[in-house]
Amino acid sequence: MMQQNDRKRVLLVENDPHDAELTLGALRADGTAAQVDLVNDGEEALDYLYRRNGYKSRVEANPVLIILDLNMPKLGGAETLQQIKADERFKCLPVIMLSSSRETQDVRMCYRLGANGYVVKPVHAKQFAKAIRELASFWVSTNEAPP
Amino acid sequence: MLEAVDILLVDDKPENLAALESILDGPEYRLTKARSAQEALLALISTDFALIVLDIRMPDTSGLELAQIIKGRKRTKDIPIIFLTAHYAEDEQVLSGYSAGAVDYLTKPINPGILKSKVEVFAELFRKTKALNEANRNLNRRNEELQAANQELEAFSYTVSHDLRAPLRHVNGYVEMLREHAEPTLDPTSRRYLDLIQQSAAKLGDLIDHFLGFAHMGRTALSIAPVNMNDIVRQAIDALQPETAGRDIQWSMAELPQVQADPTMIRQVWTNLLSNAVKYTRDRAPAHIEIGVERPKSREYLFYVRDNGVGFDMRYAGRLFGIFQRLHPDTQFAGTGIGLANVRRIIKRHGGRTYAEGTVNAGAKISFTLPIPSDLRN
Repeated sequence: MMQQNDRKRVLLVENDPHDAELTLGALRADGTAAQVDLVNDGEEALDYLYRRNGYKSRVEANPVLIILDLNMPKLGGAETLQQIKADERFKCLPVIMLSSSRETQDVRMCYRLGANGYVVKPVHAKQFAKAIRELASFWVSTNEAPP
Repeated sequence: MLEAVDILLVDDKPENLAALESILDGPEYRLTKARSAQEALLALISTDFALIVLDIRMPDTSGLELAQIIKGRKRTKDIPIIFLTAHYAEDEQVLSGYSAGAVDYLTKPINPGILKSKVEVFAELFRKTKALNEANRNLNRRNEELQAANQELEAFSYTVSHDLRAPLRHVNGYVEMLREHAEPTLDPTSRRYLDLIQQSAAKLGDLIDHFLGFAHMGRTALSIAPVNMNDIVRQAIDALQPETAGRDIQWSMAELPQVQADPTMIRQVWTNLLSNAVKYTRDRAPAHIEIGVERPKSREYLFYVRDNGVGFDMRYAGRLFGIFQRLHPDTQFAGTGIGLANVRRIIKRHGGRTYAEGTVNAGAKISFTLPIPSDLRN
């Protein structure tokens, strides 16, 4: 049996508590081996990665996947993405953007900033859950995470 | 009553000025007299003249030099000048050097009738130009206002649609989770309520998605390319497989011409029209769906989809292409009322028109035209 701390981790950056709960629900129901850590905005995500402020004592390995909401107050998804991809230590971490926008300019901007994927949040619950599960299944189980 | 226009008279001799003044006396002109180039330039600063009548020979700065200054300044260069010359043979060379139209000349002694009619022509030109400029300015301003209003509206509808999606996603999500969580304990009535919530939420989701698509379509630039209509129609029919499976549908399709259009948008037009035809012939066995083309004019094609479905009352034909307009109750034929509105919008953007003909219980024919570029009209 794997210990809790040995499980692969997914960092979910989502400021909308309902979306967070639905995403967590979908990931839990999936039964993937992943442990999901939830942070509420971009600043907290960077604190998490840099192990500072509230995350000074974080000892676990870095996540194999970051799911990043595009539309967040304070430090937005795009800025957070930019900072992650600008840092040599984190730039290889796969980042998937979650957004309710299908706007070409949003999608293009995220890929330009180095996003590894872009998922439009479906309105229908089953499609939403399916999208999240497929995401997790690929990035946590199929994909080889950067060492 | 004509609006009075300003005319500048320039001559160093007071008696000449007085003569000009008496010839041009009348309510349609406001005359300003200048006895030197200096005075003339001063007057030009404060007044917007329709015309200058200028004596070529003046003692200080000559009339020709003054004309050069006037034509060299951006503000005054378009003011027409009528030169008055007593020595036409000597001045001809110089006069012909000025650009035609804005400059005219008269030889002394002045023939009052000719001077009057020349001045009239220039005054009329000035009034018309002024009116035209004014109209142009108004048009430009209105155009800008319209564009701004349109952009605002598009942005507004887009934001609203986006903001509506989040809570709807949550309703859907929690119903689904509640179902999973409480399934074993739910009685049939509770399950039915959950079903109804989910159906309504799904319906709202479709509405928002279609509305978003509609708004998005309005803002996307057309990307025109040659489109093979035969291929696009066949693909659209194939894509309707889930709805057509198990149905008895007799398709008939004419050989369609190639057109110049935005392929993605034209595909959407066919998909909407064909899925409507499939939907509204649901109770027919066999259903007939005919795809055809006519060429009513040399410069356009008219494509149509005709079916033998439930049809509609021609009295309501005008409402068919309006957004959120539906002629059939949702309980009978599901839909959001955006499909045909989108068709019309797409076709309009391509410079075409849409038509609907129908009879209750005897089918419908929905047509659209597409212009044929002039180099492809054979």
